[in-house]
Amino acid sequence: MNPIDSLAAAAERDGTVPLPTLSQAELCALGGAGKGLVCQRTWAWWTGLGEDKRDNLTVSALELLAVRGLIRSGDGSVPVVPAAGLAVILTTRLQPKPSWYVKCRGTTRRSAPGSSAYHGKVPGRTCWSAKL
Amino acid sequence: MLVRETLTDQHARMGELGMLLRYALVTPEATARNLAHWAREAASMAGTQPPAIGIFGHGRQGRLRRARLWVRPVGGFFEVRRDGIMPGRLDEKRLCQILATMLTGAA
Repeated sequence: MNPIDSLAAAAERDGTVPLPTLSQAELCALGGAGKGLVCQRTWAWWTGLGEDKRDNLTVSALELLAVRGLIRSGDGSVPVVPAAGLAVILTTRLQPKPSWYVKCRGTTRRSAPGSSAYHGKVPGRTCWSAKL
Repeated sequence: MLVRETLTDQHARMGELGMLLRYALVTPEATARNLAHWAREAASMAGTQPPAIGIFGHGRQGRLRRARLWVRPVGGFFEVRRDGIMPGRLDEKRLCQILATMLTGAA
């Protein structure tokens, strides 16, 4: 069983499986914030930084992702190959079919899932490569 | 299967990288239970409107659909109002079934 199928099987069994935590800069550096389903707060923060700052943060973010083992160099056809958990995040953010966005409105504590969004559906065969 | 993305109020270890986003792969059923739990918590806050859950979806044909539910916990039940449908009183199990069905696109 490939790693993505293993994650899906674990989620079927347990209901929830944690995926890698990302910083806003890491998500933006991977191209995952401004396409598909946009997180307005993240996208507004990123685009408000200025080009030089974004370029610097992109380098820092990709280096950190590599150190964490979440990306590795591609084979030439794609610059970067994400690890399974990250591939699931990027695929559902970039190519949700069908896509679902769930918005909750009400007074909640900070830890409550009032600021959560639910994205997409992991397809049967998830692509492994992210084009930057 | 859905990916849950939560924008937290925690800064990344290198603060300049922004805030942390937490992710989880979740089933529609677990998502529904999570939303029902959230509705109870949100409704317990004094002076709130009935918690509202908006589900925006692109179906397989690419058509945008939206469904909204207002969910007010009453004792062990939920009073549920939904666009175009008469209000009803549901137990948590039935509410979760409806939410899960909506999230799998079968509704």
